[in-house]
Amino acid sequence: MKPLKVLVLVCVLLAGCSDDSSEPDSTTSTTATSNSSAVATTVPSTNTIAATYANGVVTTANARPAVKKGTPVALLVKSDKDEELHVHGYDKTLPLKANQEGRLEFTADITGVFEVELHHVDKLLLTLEVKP
Amino acid sequence: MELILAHGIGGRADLPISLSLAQYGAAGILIATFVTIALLWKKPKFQTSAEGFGIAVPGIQRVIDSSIANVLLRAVGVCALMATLGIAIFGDDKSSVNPTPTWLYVWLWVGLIPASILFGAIWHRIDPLATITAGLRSVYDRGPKTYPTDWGRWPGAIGLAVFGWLELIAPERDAPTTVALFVACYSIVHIVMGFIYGPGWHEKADTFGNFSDFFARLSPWMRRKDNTLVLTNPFHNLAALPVERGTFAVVTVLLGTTAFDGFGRTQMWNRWTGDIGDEALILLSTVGLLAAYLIVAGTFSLAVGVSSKTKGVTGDFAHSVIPIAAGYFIAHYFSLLLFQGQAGYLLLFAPGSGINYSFVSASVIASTQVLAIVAGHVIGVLSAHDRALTKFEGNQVRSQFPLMTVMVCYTFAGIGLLLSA
Repeated sequence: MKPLKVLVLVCVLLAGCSDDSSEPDSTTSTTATSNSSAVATTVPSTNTIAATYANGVVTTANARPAVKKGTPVALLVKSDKDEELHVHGYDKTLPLKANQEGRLEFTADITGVFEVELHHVDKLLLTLEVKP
Repeated sequence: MELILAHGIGGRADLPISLSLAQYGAAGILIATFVTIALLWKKPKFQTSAEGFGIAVPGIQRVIDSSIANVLLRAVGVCALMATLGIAIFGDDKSSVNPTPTWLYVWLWVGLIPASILFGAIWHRIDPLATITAGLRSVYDRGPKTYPTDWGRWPGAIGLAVFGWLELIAPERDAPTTVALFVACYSIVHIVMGFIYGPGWHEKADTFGNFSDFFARLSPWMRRKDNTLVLTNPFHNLAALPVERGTFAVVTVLLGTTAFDGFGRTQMWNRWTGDIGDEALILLSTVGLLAAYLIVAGTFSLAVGVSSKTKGVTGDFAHSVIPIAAGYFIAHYFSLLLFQGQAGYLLLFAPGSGINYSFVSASVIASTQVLAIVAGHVIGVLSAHDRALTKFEGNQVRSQFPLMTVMVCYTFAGIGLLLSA
């Protein structure tokens, strides 16, 4: 039946072109920086991402750092108030004391887009992309 | 709009699709559309009536319509309602511990789509509120009222819009308390209305009933007027969608809600709304959701109106929006169902276990998303083409351009939303 043939043809065309191995085209791979500290890759394979929260303002809210699946990630966060850092999806939390930089390390083994937020004040710190 | 609030729960969202995949999808959409208009059939093929079509399946029907099946399905529905209410009210107040938000937003809302596409319009068999009302009406004196046909599917459209608002915009929407509140209020409203207006209320006005009924048109299962169960070509099932008052409103809400959901996940939206306060965000989002409905309704009516022989035939094309909406829903929610869906079970029976994210790869997810949107578009375009043969005047190829253009825009927008997630 004709409609079925058209549907199948289009699906086959698509299936044949479906393998999209990671292409860094639509998003940029930048790491977020805070006002004062520069980003450095301290350990060869660890991706270090820094962010600060001060005077009610998050400097990195629109940042979307991207890492490859399987990379160890270190989040360095400093807040001027007592807070709780939360990485969604991975469900990692870290209590933060006012004006003391906290370091949260984990391995980015799930692909996707994950929000990192400060729990008490309910503010988005940055959005982490883990690509295959 | 923060992700965590964008779909009520879950901490993970899909990656944006790659540009090349988007391009293939767009190309597929365009090819299918033009092939349809220019080369395909010139006389309508799809039945507009459910009668006399499809293959009756008396054996299966005997099982499905048996009183044992009836009792079982209704019992499952009532137990699910009680469990959800109970655990939402008395359980832990965090969605990372309490399974009920996952049950409502993922198992019921998202899960009802594949369930309806596979098994037909199943909601009415399990609807616990209809069961409760039927019980009440058998005991107490009921009034003579029946469901006013004038209301058509409008209560369903409104209910779907309300649920869309709840799911995407309501403050604290992933909190078990909110789930409890919604389920309780919804139950009370529908039990009262069902008691007054009878089973017709539940048949036509239930939110989840409408959700299931409309997507079930993509399934091979259909009921004739005398309730005979038949297996049929889904294209016939779609074409047989009865056009009632509010039918077009329902499909508008279905497509508009999921389009706005996708829009709310884009980086653009997040930049615009990053710094505004909570109340401003709710207001802006509500305006956005309503705007989505108006845009869908406006563009579609215009495209149909420009080409049709008579006025007011927009509803006759409503069925062609269903596959496009289904494509959007699948693209946006399929990974949520697979991943967050696990939590609905794990939180109850294996608390502490993590969700298994590794059984579906990122590229399978991306391909499925694009395939769903393209397939939805192709089915929609073929359905619209067939209907246009009876409703549009003038040159057949030219008269279909406005409608096909609008549908191409919807699916291009769908692909675009996936690119900028």
